[in-house]
Amino acid sequence: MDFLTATLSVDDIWWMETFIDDWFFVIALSLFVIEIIRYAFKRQVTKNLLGDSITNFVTLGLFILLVGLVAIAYVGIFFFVFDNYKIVELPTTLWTILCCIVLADLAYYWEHRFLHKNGFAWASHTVHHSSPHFNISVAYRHGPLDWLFPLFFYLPLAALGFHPFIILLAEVIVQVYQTLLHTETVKKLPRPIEAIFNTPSHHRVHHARNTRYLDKNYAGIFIIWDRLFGTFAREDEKVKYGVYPQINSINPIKVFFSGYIKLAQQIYKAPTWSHKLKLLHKPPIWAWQQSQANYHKTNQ
Amino acid sequence: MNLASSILVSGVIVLSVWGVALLQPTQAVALTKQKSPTLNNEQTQAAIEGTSATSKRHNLTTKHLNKIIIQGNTANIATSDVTRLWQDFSDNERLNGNLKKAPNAVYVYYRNFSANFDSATVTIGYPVGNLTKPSATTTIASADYHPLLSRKKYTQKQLEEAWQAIDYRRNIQHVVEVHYLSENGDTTATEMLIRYGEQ
Repeated sequence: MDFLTATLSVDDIWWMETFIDDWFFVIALSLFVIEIIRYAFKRQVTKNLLGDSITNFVTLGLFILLVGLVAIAYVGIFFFVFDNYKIVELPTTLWTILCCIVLADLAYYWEHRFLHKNGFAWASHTVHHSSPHFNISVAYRHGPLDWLFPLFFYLPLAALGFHPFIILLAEVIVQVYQTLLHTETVKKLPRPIEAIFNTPSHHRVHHARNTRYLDKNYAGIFIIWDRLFGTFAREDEKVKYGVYPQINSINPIKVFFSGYIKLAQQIYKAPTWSHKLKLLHKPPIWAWQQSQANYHKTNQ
Repeated sequence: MNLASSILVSGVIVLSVWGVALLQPTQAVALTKQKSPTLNNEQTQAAIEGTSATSKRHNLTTKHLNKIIIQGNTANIATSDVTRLWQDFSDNERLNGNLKKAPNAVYVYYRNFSANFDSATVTIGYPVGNLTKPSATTTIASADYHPLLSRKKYTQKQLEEAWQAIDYRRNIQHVVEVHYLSENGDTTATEMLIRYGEQ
């Protein structure tokens, strides 16, 4: 048990974070190649699949560019809260890291639920959901503000006394875990695993546009959050991927900014200031219901 | 579960997991040359005389220290000579060359005190986790300790005064000093613990 409570240096934690981040990307790329080979054997490789996959990696590049611009400020905010507002200071041990991963995963659940329930946040997150395919490359399909929202949900951990590098490490672990879930290759895992952990099956449901699957399975690592909070759905009918309406483009720039362009157009066309504001904070389903109501009104 | 209940349950989960993080057994790690407080005979005598008052004042709770294995310099020396051991420790090239990374703490472990507390066996070392090939290690056994100084930055005078807060009438088994270090090897805080044995 000593290894759990042995003090780690901040350098060790930073090293772990960058090691996982970098090498996991290499592993993910290898898995993606295996997936493509599998699709080839099934004669399911299409120009659209390849173009969409390339688009996914281009959006990752654009996302990294934006993160590069804000990274110092992002980490700086965590250090500011940790240095000035922490209630206690937790030791930098594996024990602390494990606790932080559980809490970061719970924070991720709420952040993810927020992304689906807030118009402004959805405009960024919709990019990730807009692919009509489901493979490892989709995990890297990012929207322009995907770096911003986690800040608000993970920051309380710094006030609770978790060192900012531990929080970043936990954030990376929660993210890389989910990367592996973006696949159709793995069907269902043994029941105990499906009961506790988020799995490819659960995450396929999350990416579905089937009505019964909408806004389900927000989990990162532990599916227990969805089971507990009533947002769980089991995969028992064929999943149709993507968003309504389908984006039908593999132009990476169009895909990357699609959510905010659509939101800007909706705001521009909104009849009142109240409606404009609601588009920013109400769930995306509200905007869709409004447009449907308008459509029926004008066609009567 | 509705949204409000879900948020409430999340709050309970956060507090529970945070509690688990807070309740973890602590195991500090251990460099730099540090002057250790030393006692001369007059100080010891003064400390014994002043013990009744100070031990009441220092009616402290215990702190559990997990087993810690350290490697460094050990000597049976006069407590007034600990500075020399610090020098040896600092000059121990073999030990310092064995470090994997900048250590974040150094331990000073006192035991086998002489009857008049003039001398003791003292080890100054790093936890073996910081070393590539640990050998000739010293184990600080897992035990409950009375804190003499909680983890904070202290002046040299305060460190010396801490020795006067010891209840010298009791059976003193060990004294452990933990000097926490910054990345540059400067002391950021010190903690001092004592283990009394059965009367």
